Amino acid sequence: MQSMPVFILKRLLYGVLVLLVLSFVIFSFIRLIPGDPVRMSLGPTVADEVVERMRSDLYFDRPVVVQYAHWLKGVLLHGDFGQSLYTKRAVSEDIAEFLPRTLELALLSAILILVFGILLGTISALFRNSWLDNTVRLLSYLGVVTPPYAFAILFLLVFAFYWKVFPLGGMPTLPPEIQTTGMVAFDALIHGRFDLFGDALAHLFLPAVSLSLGSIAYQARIHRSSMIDNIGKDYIAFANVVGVKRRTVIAKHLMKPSFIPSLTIFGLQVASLLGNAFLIEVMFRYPGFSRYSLSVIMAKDPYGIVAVTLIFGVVFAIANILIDLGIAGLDPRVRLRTTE
Amino acid sequence: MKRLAKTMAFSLVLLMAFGAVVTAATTLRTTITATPESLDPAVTSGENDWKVAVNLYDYLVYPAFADASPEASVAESWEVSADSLTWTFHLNQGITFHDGTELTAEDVKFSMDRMIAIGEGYAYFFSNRVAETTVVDDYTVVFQLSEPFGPFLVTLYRLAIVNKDLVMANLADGMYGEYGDYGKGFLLTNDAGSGPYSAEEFRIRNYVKLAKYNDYWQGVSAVAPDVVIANEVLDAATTKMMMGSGEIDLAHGRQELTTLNALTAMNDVDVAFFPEMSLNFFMINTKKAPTDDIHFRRAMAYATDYAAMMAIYPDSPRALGPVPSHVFGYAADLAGYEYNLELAKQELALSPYAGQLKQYPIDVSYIQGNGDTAKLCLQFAANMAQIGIQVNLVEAPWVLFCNQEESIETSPHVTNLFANASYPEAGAILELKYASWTVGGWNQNEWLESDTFDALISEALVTVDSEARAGLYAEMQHYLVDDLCPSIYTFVSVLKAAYRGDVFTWPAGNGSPHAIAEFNFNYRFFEML
Repeated sequence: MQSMPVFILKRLLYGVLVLLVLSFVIFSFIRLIPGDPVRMSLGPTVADEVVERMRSDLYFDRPVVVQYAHWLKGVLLHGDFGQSLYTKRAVSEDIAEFLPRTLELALLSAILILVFGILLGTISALFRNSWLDNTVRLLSYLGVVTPPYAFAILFLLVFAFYWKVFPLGGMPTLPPEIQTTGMVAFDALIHGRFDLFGDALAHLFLPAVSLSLGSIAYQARIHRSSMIDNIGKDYIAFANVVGVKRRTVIAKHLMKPSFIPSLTIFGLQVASLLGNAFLIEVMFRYPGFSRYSLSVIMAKDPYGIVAVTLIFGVVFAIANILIDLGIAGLDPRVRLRTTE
Repeated sequence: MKRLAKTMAFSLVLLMAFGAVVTAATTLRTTITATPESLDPAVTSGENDWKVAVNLYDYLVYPAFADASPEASVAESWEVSADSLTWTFHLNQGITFHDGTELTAEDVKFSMDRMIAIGEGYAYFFSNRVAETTVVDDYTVVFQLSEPFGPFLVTLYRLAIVNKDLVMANLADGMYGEYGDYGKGFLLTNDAGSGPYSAEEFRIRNYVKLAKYNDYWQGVSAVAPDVVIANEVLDAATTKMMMGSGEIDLAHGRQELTTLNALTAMNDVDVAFFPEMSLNFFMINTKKAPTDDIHFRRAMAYATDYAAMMAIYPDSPRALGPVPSHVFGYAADLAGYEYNLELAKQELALSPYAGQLKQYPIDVSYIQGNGDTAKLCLQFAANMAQIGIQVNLVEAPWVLFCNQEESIETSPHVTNLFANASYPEAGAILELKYASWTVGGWNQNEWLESDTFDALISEALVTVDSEARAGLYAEMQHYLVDDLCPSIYTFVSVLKAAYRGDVFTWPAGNGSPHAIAEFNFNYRFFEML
């Protein structure tokens, strides 16, 4: 018999194991790809001995297992992910600068997905086959098939270029004394700089909406289907027959079970936001992690690639754990099975 | 009394407004294709790096606007010994770095020693040539060369003078022995220069912000921008919107034609043209069948429709050889190749591969991401089809494009690329493109490995007399174009930068561009309106 904390601990340990294996696989795989990343980084005119010196300094001239052990030791003991050939500084510095920004963008997008996805799905299900339902379904279909960058161009044109309601991309820079987490809006907020907070939100809004619209549409569709499935269940019919208030039926008896598949989808959508944000970050000149990730891959930056893979792995692992916890919280049957 | 108070208040408001107008800082907002890899001038060689470096640092000599010939700068004068091995530079006094300390011969020595020790960027100009640098006194420095080097003076355009004390105060652990990392970590995002602008802020892959250095020794005009912000903007749609809404004043000069046309159609947006020391090449693998045959290569050269290619890059002068026509050492009497299908077929008939074209398709590779380059290669494929040569176009990501150049076997038959001279002499591009010691890099797909050429370029580079050196450069160009045809030369690269003519003027916009592209972005010469 295991308690919930033990269940969580086990999941965390499995997650760590998976990440270790993943890091080794990616670490080794990159070194199998033809081409010398050091030579590429330094250029064709740099002398061979300079290239060799840098390769040695970066441990690239050792066997793969030795390289990995050295790298892992650096990560575990010092939080040192190695040197990026792309930005020419420590990968940990890159992560500290770029990751919080994309996390902030993903967080705002997640809020939008959760609120509007569930809301639209609920409305659509409750007013099934009405003009409301049809409108939501049509819009969500359009949302699913339209790529995020198309929304980005449209919003930039309309709201930033013609109407000038929002800025044309970029992100404000905070004074060094209030840079705490790296998340611009959040740091401004916790330091009471509401002017900067507003400015940061203004810069975040259009990218977040562009990024989340497809997921909102998808979420709405999933939630609608889930609610329709549950509307037809006997216990809902019974609740209606015995005179439970409609509001209570919806909020207490319908939403909770309907939210379970939605939560699963929501978790995976949010986890994938980190990687899907690349074009949004390019179009909005948003210096985030997604753009950085693609850049280090294109530059064949070994330490950068391993680090971004790990980060994505951690995000997905945490997302899965949170999904499981959320589902356990919503579904008592899952809680009981866990403790059996 | 009330009236007097009102008048005084109104006057005060007027005064404040006037003061604000007079003292408001002017900001020039530009875009770049990428932020600099580093602000350290000893490790970088990219266009975006040097657009910033020309503002942050000073140089012993500075290239003249019209022809890039060396003019006195930090060095007020210099002498060279009879054997051309000893170069003595006498420095101007009173030049200060951005931290207020004076630039002396010790800083020049340190900059050269540092560049050679690190060995990156443009160090290869000096690494095997500058045997020793000596400080004679505070304002006299001597470079002792191990062998004569004809272009030495112009290569000093790439020796940025860094503040030794500042760098030494900011060393971190590294691989340079007692010098640690030689300040590479510090100079990644900070400057140690004396140039007309200092680096106020640098956010990697985001933007770089420069601030005018008002104590610059040569003076900076009051109408030069006080602040320059260069944002990394990758997307054409975003660039157009930013220019249209007035959020940027100057767009980088590497826009695709459709974007450039859209920008210049906007009100008050003009275009500045300035040629680069760069050519577009179709680089032919001379060691791989069927392009290992001289007649096959000549056939391709005659079958290329140069006018059609120049229409893809309008305003770009035709190139008849490997050296841009405005660069010292260009052979003006080159005949080159013209589009002539009859001559192409005649050359092809002489090739041993003439009757076997279907068995010998050629792969043409180009770097992914530039639509105009793709059009060039499509045009090339269409041209080759006219004489029966089958072309497979391969659009390769940068990593793969570099990887494929590591051996003859993996190198494609033809690649398309712009190759650039690092200093304003023919030798720069000739050595980079055709010397056997530069094979294996993406700048050279030809795999020429010619003893004749190697001997010529080696001799040219140690020839100090400029006329004699130019003669050798010309000989090399004729050898390449007339005898070997290892490349197809299409046009000289011309940068076209769209800018708001109602916001500022600059020499390039006034029809007086600098002969070296990056030096057009010395903001000291800009005038805000």
